[in-house]
Amino acid sequence: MKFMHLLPALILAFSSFARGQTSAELESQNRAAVGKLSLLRETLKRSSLNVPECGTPSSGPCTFANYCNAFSNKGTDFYLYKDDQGHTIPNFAMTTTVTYGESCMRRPFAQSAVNDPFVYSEQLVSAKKAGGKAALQKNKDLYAKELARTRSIFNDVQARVVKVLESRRNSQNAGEIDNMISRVKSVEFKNPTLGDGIYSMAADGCEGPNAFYSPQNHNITICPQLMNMPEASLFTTIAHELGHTFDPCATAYSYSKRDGKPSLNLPEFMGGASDRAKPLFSAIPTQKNPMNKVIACLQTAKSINVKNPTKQEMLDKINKDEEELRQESQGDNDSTQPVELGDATVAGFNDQRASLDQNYQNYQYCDSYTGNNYIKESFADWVSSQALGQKVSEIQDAGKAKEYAFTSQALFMSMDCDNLKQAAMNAVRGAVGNFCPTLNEVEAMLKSSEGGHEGDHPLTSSRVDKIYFAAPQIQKALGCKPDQNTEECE
Amino acid sequence: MKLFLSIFLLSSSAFAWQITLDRTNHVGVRNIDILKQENGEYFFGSKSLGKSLPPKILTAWKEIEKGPVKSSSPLMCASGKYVFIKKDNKREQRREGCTDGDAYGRLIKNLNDIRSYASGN
Repeated sequence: MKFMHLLPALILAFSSFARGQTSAELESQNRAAVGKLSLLRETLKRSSLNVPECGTPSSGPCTFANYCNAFSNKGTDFYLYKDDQGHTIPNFAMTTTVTYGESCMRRPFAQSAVNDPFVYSEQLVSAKKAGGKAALQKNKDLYAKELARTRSIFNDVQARVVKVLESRRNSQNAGEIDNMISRVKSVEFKNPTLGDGIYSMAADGCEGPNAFYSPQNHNITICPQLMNMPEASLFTTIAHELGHTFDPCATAYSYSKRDGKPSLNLPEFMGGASDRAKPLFSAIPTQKNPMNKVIACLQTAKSINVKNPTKQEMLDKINKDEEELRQESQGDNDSTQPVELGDATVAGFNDQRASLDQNYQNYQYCDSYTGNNYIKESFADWVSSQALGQKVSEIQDAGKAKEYAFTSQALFMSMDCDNLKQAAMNAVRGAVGNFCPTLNEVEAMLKSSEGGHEGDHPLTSSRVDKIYFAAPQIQKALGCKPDQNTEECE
Repeated sequence: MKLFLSIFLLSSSAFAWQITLDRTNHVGVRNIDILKQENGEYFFGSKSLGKSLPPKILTAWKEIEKGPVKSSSPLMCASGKYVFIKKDNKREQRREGCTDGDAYGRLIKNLNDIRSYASGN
């Protein structure tokens, strides 16, 4: 007992000794892992310099999985595809996973594995990252060229989406269709801000490859990381974003001009102002939406079968929240008498119930109201599939139409093919091994929905199989075998 | 008493917390970063950054710890959303933010400063 007071010091001394051993082991493991990861980076670099012609798969079912298989021998390549003009589809599954591996190393990799300013956007703004001033200038020139090309594709897609809408105009819905066309025609293509790189691009929503429609600014951002993709990939992405300008959530809002630009008007119950300028586009009441048939179809088993929370489900949730709060308060109270919630709290729950009665009908497809994006995302995919179908059916050369239809889905494939994601994880894990426990943690999180955003987008494979590959023109261009259980929404 | 103090000190030094930044943009690209503090030691992912950080990196770390500002109105995020999850021995705190705007730009810049420091750049 007389040495008991020395116990903490002894424990600390022992743990330092143990740490000393661990550090030496870590250093040795780090050297080995850096060596293996360097080899993987070298493999990626070599593959980026020699991208063989990639044939479009010739037959098989019209499924995402079938087309993912076309890339099965490219799991550890930097690019999945390169067209005859040098536009590429990067293997985003691999580039992302390698970054996780690099983050674990105790040695800097000053340069990215490959020189490609569209994959590693810092190479567009930093001479150090680009490999010198001359290389930076070259990258900037290339970016200016691709920005102009993207803008030109944007104009083409805009005209085609207008055509999709015009084809649905009749004497009953002319006003609403014209309202939708005005929304499509007035949306702006936003020039991404390169600025100082990391901060400016992230502030613009371009931390990674991304594209989105902002209803607050009525503009569409196509991030630099997507700009060197083949035309068809950009076409699909832009058409999807244009679809958001008149999706069933966007049309629930009226838009007015603010600072000379159109912007959506938030209703008062969502915190919007009560006085507002004359609307540029009126809101379209749900029952008058000319796309209601399509929206209903997207919720059936023949199509993507997406579900939106019903009014009753939302009411049940409010009641459940109220009851849980009541039980929590009861738990904190020693009394056996039932605890009543405060007047203000009860009033808050009653307001939510009243709001549901008044607003569910019109805002049911808005994620800020229901927490679910599925209908509006599926609708934007449907718009994109219609414009794409129109485009491929106009390409006379069957080979080119097939290639166009195939590369139109390539962004989905580069990010979400299970075989590519697994190949990337295996390659990086093979290199960094047990040295990078975070990799396992990250993989587990990526595989689960925990922490992610359930309700944002339906599964990629469902979006492709049930919407894009349901379009007969796309099936015809691909020459694939349609799924008998899937029908295009009309 | 000495024994009690020793055990108390040792157990309190085992305090740990973890921040997960789980970001999913509009096209579905998902990125996850994990920051931890354990026994006073900073970790970025699996990598120990030691028990003290240079002032610039410490400032970046503290900024990230704050998480996104809690919003009273529902989020309308066009570019995507991220979840900020802070766990310690006792509880888990979760907040959401949009993957664009000044605050997000600063978050990613701070994250990148820490990543660069961690890799020795």
